[in-house]
Amino acid sequence: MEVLNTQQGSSFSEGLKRLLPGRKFLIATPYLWLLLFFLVPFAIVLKISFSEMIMAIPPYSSLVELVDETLSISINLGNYLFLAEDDMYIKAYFSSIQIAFNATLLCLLLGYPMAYAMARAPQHMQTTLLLLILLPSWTSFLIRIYAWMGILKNNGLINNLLMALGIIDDPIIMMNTNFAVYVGIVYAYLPFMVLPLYANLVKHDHSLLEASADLGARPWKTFLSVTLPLSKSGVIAGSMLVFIPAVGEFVIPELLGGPDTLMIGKVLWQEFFNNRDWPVASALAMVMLLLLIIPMALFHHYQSKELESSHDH
Amino acid sequence: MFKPDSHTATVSAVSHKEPEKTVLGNSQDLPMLQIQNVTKTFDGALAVDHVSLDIPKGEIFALLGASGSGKSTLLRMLAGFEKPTSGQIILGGQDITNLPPYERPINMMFQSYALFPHMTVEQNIAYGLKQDNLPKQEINAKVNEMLNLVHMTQYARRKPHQLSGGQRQRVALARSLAKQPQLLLLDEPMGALDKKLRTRMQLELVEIIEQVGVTCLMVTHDQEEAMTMAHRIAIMDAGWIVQVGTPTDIYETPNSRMAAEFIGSINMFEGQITQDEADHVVIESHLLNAPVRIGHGIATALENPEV
Amino acid sequence: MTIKTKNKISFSNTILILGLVFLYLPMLILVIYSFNESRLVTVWAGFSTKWYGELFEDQQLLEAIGMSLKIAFWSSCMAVVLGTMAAFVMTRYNRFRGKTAFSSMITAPLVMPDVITGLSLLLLFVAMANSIGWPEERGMLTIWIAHVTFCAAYATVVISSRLREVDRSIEEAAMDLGATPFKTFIQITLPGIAPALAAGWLLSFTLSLDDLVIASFVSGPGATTLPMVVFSSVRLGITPKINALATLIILAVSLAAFITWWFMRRQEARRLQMMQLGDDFFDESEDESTKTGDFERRRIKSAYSSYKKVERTESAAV
Repeated sequence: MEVLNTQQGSSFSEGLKRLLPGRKFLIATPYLWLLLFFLVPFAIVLKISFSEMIMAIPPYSSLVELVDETLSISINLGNYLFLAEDDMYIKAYFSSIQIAFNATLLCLLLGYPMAYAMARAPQHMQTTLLLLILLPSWTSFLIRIYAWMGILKNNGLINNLLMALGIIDDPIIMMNTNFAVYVGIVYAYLPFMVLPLYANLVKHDHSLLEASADLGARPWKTFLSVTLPLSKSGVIAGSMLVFIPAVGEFVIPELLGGPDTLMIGKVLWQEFFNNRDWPVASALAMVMLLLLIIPMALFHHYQSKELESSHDH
Repeated sequence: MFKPDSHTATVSAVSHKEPEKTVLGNSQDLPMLQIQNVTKTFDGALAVDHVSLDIPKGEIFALLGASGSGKSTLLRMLAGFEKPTSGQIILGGQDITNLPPYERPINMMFQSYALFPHMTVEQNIAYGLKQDNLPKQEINAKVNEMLNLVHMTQYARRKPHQLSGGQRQRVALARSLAKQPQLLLLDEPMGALDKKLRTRMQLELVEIIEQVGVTCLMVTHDQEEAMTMAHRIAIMDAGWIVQVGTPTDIYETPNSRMAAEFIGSINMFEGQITQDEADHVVIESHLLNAPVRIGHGIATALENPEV
Repeated sequence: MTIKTKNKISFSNTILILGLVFLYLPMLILVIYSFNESRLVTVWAGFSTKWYGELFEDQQLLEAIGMSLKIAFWSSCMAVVLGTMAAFVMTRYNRFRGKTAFSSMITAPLVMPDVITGLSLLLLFVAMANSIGWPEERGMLTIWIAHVTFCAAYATVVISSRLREVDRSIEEAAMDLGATPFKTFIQITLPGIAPALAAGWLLSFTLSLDDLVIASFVSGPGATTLPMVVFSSVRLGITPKINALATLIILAVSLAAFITWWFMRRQEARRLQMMQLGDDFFDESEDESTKTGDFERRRIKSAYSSYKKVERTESAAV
């Protein structure tokens, strides 16, 4: 055999040189971007939460020239103590978590059967159904919340309809209540619950259900003992995808909630934009972040698990 | 960039790189592929343990072993996807240990065939030639030659998913032969085929490889496949080469319990060595009625006498 | 699994239909009332398109739309570039220092509440302007940076789930045949992940168009995006002009979705046709080895259906 030498005369070191900057460049670009625009900002929030509000631009006292730790600690207590003393903030945290938790539960109760039905639907229907679920989340979030304002108002669609039918005489007050906030969150975040659940459920091997039935389990028992445990990571991923952003939600309580709807996102917004108290807003953000770190870790764990399992098959 | 009009021209064009051997004259004394003391560890775990092998030009050589025996790692080191922790790989007298895969004159037929799904059969075969920036006509001629070789001419414009398993394998073979590599690697060549097709494709593959005359190293866990296709076999276990020999050698006289077990269809018994003479031993076993006399090296030579 | 199963399925089907009605009814009402003559959104006073006319005369709104589209376009381009790099790093490089930090930083923006992201980025920009004098003023550039940062996280998830599916041996085969890693990526990997790149781009585009909170924090006096305009008008109550705008947005998105759906359907049909072609071919070749064709066909079919499942999962992973 004649030998065609495909060597093109470049030695190993040249090849290495060509390869290595590529690898380094590939890692460094997104890494640096995220470091600079995601991680460093949190350090700055942390720093400012330890500073004092002043009437200046920017409206916070500077700690920069004194890197000394003792100083920062002495000022730090100001903002955080303020949060602890005023029970408005504590209530806001508490009710944010409560509202987010209940709304997540509602999303799960509604979303799970939907995802289940989608995963069991005939194959040619599934793409269409998926698109139908996705489509609302592609339109404007703000406008979808706005739509409910017209429906829930005192002279809105529901009240008009009920009064025209003679079911009620006086309008039911729905707008500017926690009820409206629940409706808004469930409405806006439902797709984020359905999608991970569907992605999980559609991977299930149908023969497992048949095996369970074959072994004598009734369908609901099969569901409880096979389907539900297998979809655990989907349930958690979906729940976190709803819960975490809902805790910090601003638009929904602002537009649909009332004056007594206390949610931390709204409080933070007001501290920042209305009171221009950047240090307190920063402290609020840091405490919120602290509260959300465990749910976020959960999400990260199950999200990576979901991603891994999707390539197993 | 070399001018690839003809192979002789090519050889002279690249001759500045290494003292060019007249291919025939040198192949007798110098093996095509020399694996020298190659070791590979992954996170401290030894995958390949000081393996040395010489493979002469034109030989079909099989690495036989169970999964985890290190045979695939060895293959991937030859292809350039893994770098040996220590040791050297020398191909045609040139040290290629540190060359990246795309600079090695080695081509591989992947277990899954790894045909590019978005390219036709033709484009798949032409891919490697295009990387060398050969003129179009030459590529076309070569592709046609390859299609002819593997009897796939009428399927040239199909996409891989429109082919049967056996046909995909032929395309994969054609693609890896198109660049006329100095060494052809086969990774579990029959792994993706069902049993009935295997026997036929084994013979066809050997026929084509021998027709082209390329040196070939294959990896398999199927002893029958190794026996049918290879001129010589190395049995690997736990990163070691247990035995090297012709199929007959290994079948008739496995040098260890491991090799014997791997070759299968043997009689094995345990016993105690009662006499140890220069040319034979006598073994007594409760499984046998009478003591047996056997020559050294035939039976379980690695076993402890006090089994 | 007889009657009970049917009941069960019909239960979840009912919820599915109710859920879809729940999702679509409010939008339908918005659309209907955008054609209402009356300023009072809840009282029907006859058909009219006058609000659309007013919409197109609102200079501030039109400028905000232009600004939002520009930011969304460039944000999604950069997000896909960064997302592809990050996805490649996540799926191809097994070990490097700080990989855990890297992967957490990528998934965290997916769930990070907007107020936190917005506040932290604003404080960064303020601190940077104070210490190095850049960015001089907040506006399009700062919104672009903020949007790239959180859109890149989504793009990474979409692209990496596709990248994981790509058969590694195909890339190795390309390198084995002489293609450099860069060439391999361009010629082999990229065609395989192109649909995911498009999906990541579109997702980033809609996310950027939609963002109110982060943009409100990091924007400056000169830059007002569409959601900011809509929000300030919606805050004051319901105006039919917003209904008209909503209708146009819904129309545009539905159109895009329909085109996507149509292409997906067509592609699927074409693939099925090709499989059919393959099937016919296997029938011809059965003389090669009698039962092999059948076996092959089954094997390929099952591989094909699992491939389809993967595709679906992936679009769902969004």
